[in-house]
Amino acid sequence: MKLKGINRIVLFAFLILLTLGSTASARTAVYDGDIEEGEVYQLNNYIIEITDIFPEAGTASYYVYERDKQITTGLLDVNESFEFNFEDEGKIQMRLKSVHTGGVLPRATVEITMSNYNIGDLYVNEVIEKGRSGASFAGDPKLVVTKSVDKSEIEVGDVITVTVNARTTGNDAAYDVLFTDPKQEHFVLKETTYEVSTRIPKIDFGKSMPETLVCIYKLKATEAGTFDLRPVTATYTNSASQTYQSSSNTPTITVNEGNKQRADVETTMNLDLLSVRRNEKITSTVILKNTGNAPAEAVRLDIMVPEGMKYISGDEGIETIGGKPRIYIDTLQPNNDKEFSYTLKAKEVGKYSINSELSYEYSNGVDAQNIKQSDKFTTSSISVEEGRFDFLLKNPLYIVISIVILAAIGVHVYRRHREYKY
Amino acid sequence: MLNILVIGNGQCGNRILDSINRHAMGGGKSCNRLAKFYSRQKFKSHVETLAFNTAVNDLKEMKFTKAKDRIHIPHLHGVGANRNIGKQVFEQNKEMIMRQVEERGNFDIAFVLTSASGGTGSSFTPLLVREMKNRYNYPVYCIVVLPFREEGTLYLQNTAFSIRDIRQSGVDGIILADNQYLKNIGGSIEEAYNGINDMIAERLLFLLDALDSEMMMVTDLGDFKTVMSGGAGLATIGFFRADREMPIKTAIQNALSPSGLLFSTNVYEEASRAMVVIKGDRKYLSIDEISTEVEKLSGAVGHVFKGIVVRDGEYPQVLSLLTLESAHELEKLYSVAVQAIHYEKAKKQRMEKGDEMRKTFSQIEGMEPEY
Repeated sequence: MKLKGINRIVLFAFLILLTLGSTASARTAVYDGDIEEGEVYQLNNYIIEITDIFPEAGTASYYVYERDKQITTGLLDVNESFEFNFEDEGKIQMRLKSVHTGGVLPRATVEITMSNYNIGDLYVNEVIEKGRSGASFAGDPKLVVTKSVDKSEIEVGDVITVTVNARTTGNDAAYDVLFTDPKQEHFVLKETTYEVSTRIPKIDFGKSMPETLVCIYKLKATEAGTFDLRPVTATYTNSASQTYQSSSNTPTITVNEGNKQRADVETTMNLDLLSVRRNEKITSTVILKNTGNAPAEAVRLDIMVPEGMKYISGDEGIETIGGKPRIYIDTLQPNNDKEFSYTLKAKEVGKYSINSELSYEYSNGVDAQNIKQSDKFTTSSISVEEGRFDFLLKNPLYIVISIVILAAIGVHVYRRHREYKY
Repeated sequence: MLNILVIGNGQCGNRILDSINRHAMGGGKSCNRLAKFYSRQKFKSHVETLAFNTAVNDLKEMKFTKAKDRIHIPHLHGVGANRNIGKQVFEQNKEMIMRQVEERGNFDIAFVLTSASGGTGSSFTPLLVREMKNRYNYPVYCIVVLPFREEGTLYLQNTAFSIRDIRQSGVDGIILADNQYLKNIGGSIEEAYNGINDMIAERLLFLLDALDSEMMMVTDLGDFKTVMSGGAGLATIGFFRADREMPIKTAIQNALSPSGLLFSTNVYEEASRAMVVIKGDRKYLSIDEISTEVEKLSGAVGHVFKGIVVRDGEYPQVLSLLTLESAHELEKLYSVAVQAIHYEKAKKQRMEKGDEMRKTFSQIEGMEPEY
């Protein structure tokens, strides 16, 4: 379907209006007034300077600076405008509305608008009558946070001293400084020697300024390995309340195993037979030996009796809970071993392994909490074959025959007994 | 097959009968007490056994004789070695006793085992034999056990009268076994008695076996009767079982020697007729040696019946049956028995007078106890 000529015009006009309307709605008026020749208009660290006004020509020349750096310059006729990039991708537009003489110097009436920027973020928004020399700019403070340790290679259980200092570099003081030092994995906080209690209101900049001590604390290594300490984060603002953030360095600490104690319970499970007939018994011997250098506590071995087998009896140290045998030892001293025996009965034909779960805990002499250990064991495979008399179960006729034979023998014996009983 | 009846009278007869039944089950003296549950008496012939006793405990002691063959003759617990009471008891129960014999059937031969010295056996046997001889026409032989000489005067006089009564009962022969002679078996009294019982049982079983076996050289019931009819009606049995290889003549000599006989006698002087039965593997049975030994014996006693039973793999065994013309040892026993009778008689006369006891009690005549 082709549009007719009138329709095209209407559609074009509608699109233009839509575009203009949307543009107008995104702009925010910043200033609408006069600027005298030689005066500047400051928007944060940006300066718009009207250098020459020609009322007769209806023109005015302008310069735009970011601090002292010239960004753009030009000459505007009345009702002309120009635009330049502002902070954070914002746009500033100035339109020359009129020029006129009056007073000592000529004046220009301008309209300054901005887009894509929140006007609330403008911390300077005014005419500076003294011109550029009268403008003052907010600086960029740079807070250097240093995290230092007294030792970089230690053993488990050793303590390191961590010192955090801060120094402001850049061209502005850091205000309202807040330090955040997260908890450190693999270490425990042993002692805090010094810590700034609240926010630091201001840390001045300049080479002559001493470092600011933030905190001193001691960490105790709990685990062997090489670890990077987490950085201290500082949050602060400049004089214009702009927010900044800095992070410290991350010192590397190597923690060696050292003299950390350990319990190591070895489990040996032996079987007297690997092949039995149904209804025969198997004796298993369990030896628990602590080969470590710390006492093992709450040593517990749960013996998982397979479905096809039945627990019959065991040594005094073996208790049965819910029909499942369990060995429990309060404390197993280093280099000590304990032996237990228990008896199982093969109930069903098949191949079985006896699984067991070992758990114990010990103190490594370093950590406040006991270390918990667990392990699983499996015996060799046990083959359960048919019992000697299982064929009777398979073929009841044998039982009947056996009963008949036994009954016949019984009758015979009874009759003989009666025959000879006097 | 012969039909044989074996009767055990009194404690001694019962025990020998039980031993015969035990040996017949196999295994000899070491036969297990439980053998009766899995075995039976394996007699060559048809053998019926009967045990008579007035003492029920003696019958209870028997383990290998069927209950139906153990007949209690009711009279308290025995006759107390008093043959007169025993005879009365027999007479009172004669029909019951003979009915038991009758129920066992008819026989070709009967043996009655008894002690000559006890109460029931020594008194029952002559009367029983007399009744059997009156009622049946099969031969009846007695195997009579003589007591230890030191067992007491009652036993000795019982022996003397019992043997006489048995001889007068019509018995076809008496085979003597002498405890006095056999006591050299050694061991405890019980072991000695058991040993004697086993010896008699073993010999009798051998004899029964020989009478009903197919033989290389035959001795049968007729021969047995002929032998037993010779001499003074008294006989004894000798036996020897070799436990190793040895010449058959040695085995025969041992069976005729005093150590092999149940009753002490000089075979070559006192025997009248003889029967020798030899059993064993053919390789041990040298006919020449057998003939030599038998000829030597027949030269002294007259006629000797000989039988040979071949049993593969067995060492030689020899049984000798000898009837006696005279029995020096029996004469000696009777001499001792006469003294015992006189002793008992004198003692009884003293007791009848009661002088000694009368004097004793007369001392307190006319007196009263003072408290």
